[in-house]
Amino acid sequence: MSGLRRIRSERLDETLHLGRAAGLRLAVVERPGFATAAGYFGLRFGSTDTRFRPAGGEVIEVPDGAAHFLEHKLFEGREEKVFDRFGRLGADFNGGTGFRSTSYYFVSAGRFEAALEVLLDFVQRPLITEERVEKEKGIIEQEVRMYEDLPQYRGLFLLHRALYAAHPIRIPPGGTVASVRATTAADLQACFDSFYRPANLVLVVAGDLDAERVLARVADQVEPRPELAVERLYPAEPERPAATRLEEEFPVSRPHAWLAWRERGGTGPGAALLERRVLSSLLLELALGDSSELHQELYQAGTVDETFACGYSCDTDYGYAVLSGQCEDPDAWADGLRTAIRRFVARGPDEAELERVRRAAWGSLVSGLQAPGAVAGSVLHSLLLDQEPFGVLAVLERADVAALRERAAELFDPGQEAMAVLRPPAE
Amino acid sequence: MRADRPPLRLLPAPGLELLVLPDARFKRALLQVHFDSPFTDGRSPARVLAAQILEQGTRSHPSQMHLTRAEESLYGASVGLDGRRLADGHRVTLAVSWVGERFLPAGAAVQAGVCALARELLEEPARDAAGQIPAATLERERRQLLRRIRSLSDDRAAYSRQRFLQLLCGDDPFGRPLWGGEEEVAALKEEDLEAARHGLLEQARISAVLVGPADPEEVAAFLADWFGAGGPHADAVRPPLPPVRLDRPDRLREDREALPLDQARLHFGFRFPPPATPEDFEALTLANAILGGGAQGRLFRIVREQRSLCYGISSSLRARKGILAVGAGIDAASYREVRDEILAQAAVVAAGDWSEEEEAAARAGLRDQLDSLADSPSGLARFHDRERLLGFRRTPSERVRDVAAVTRERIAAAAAAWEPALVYLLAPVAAGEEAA
Repeated sequence: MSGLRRIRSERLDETLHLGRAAGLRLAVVERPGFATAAGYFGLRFGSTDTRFRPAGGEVIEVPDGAAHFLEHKLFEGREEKVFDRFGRLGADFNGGTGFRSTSYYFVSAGRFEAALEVLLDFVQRPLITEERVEKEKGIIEQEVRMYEDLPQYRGLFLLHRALYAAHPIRIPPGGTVASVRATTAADLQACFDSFYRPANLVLVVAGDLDAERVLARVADQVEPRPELAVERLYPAEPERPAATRLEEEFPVSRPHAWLAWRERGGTGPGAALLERRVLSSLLLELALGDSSELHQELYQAGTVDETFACGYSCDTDYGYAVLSGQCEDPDAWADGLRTAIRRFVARGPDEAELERVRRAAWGSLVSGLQAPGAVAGSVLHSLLLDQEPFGVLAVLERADVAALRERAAELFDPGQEAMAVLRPPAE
Repeated sequence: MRADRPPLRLLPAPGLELLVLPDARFKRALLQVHFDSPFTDGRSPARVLAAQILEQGTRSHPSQMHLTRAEESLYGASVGLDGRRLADGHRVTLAVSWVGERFLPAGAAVQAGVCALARELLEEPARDAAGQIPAATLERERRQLLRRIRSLSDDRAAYSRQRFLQLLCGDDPFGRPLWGGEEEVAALKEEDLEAARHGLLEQARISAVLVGPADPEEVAAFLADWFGAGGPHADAVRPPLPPVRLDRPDRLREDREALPLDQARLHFGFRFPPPATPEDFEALTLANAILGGGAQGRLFRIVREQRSLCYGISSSLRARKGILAVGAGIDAASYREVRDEILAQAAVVAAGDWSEEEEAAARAGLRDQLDSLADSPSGLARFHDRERLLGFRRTPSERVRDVAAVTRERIAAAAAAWEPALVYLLAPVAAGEEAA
């Protein structure tokens, strides 16, 4: 017996097997009849992990963007570039670095086992040298600068700086041109040695696969490295936003604005975080989604237009609801939205609205779990946050008006509000 | 192999072909109804604004709020209109999708409801008491479109792509944005928008694709009732689309603009005669893959990986229009180096001077893409629609066989037909310089 645990969701028609392979967490999602198979490999180590102390060691401090830089270097491979190895297989592949996690993936039609071998190899066996690090700096600098030209990206990080005085999500995952230039091979090696260990790694595969066979192959390819406790050192965050409003000049044709409400604290990983995310997302849809009366009023009055969007972002120790859009007068825009939110909190959602929005969320959830790559990515996200895969379904089904009213009162706290504006340069 | 399976071809109405790929593996069904009109009818800006207004409500769902509520009630079904260039035409697509009925509560059904909603969107738009587009809606949506036009340069990448295409195409309307210019949008009248809507229903060439867990007979009957005998458009005359205009460059031009930005955007355009046969098409596809079709392409490996001159660089094809476009985000100071390297690498491909490994990777990548189509409803819809437009009508497996048969000589010949036409750079404004 392998010890793989089978989880079945009849309503989503999903079956997956969960277990451990030589220390790393493994999930195999069944996708009978599909031509492609996907491998998603990730860990809880992201751009915000720039100060940490491995057990028994000194505090290590690395430049902003180190996790992202390391992701780039892993793709260089030890003996051969990963691009070339996947290229021979024809597989689609990429990686991504977030605030709290890094992931690597491939999707292949017909070369799954060879592609999985490449994935497991390059993520666990990098070769990081000063020469290789220096060579990569020009490329990453261009990537950082590409994002700097995007108003939605610039504005979002301006908002993060308004919401948080010290939290490292103030800094974009890629870091800055200066921090990229300051990064050394020793920095990246320290990150790799501290975090890239089997106990921290999660592998999710999906396809028309035999779970036991996958388990055996993965177990053979895990680099045996002992578990290492690492204390992540995050700065203390004041109880209130750093600024109620930050404004920056940027070459846009009219102002871009963000209005957000910060959570007072985090929930940690697991079910509580999932519940908070699902309820908050439902709330925003009910309050200002396209089907809400408040959105209709604001749209017809011209307060918001087609650029308006709302969303909820969170991880274990932060979270915020954000409204964004372009407008002529950011203050009038924000006042209109504040008033709408106050009205929504005062009256709360009703049963019929909730049922309708729940149906749409259900359709979106089902539709998002279609191709093997999408399912694998979703399961990896859940496992990295210690959440039951497909657990969103249960939260969605039990959400009720009372819980949403309570969430609304908690989330839209005027004392936790902040605003960011990108305004066009003065003529 | 699912990739071997050709789509069912149904003809619910004269000239309207419905391609069907029923597939119970998928959880969501997708129906696309395409309306193709020529640029030469001069109605593209009106179609853009009309489509935007149509999405604001129907007779029985008189606002965007009501429409969205209808979609939500249908378990997150969606109905929408989208537009894009297609060779020398403007394609408006009515996109409809819904969750497969095996995922719905017992007795619930959405297909018929969402199809009816889709038809209503085009046939029964919201009207005021005089039977006109409500003036407030028209003016609000016009303002939105004008703002979208004015704010195009906020997204430097999108702006540079549009400017490149415009400069590359000169007076060919293909290079113009579908919405035209601000003056054209400002001048549109209610009757122009109504004429545009009628043009879609009565003059545009219509085709459709259905993929996923759907009932094809029911969809065919829906389209037959809408466009077939006895329906409201049974007598419509749908003229054929004119032949595609193809221009050849007389020399390589260079154009440069400056805007306040951090990273410069370079676009390099080549022109070529469009491929006439499946073999020519696959030779061209492989030549593009070897040049810059992905991380295995020469541009990525040499310009990025060897020379560290950019983060992203790739090439893409508009085969029916005979355009190869290379795009890269660079440091403006590297302009000449990147330009010369693109020219040099195109010449390498034209000379057939690539390695066996490169060719094998290009073939493997293309093969994987074609084999992967079987898992993507939208990919399958796009694939079969394009095969129909090209007149080849192959399955993905048949394309795989055609790709395997292409020789190195033929790939090089395809690249040898690329004629450098335009290098465009959107550069940062230098200190003391005026923006473009």
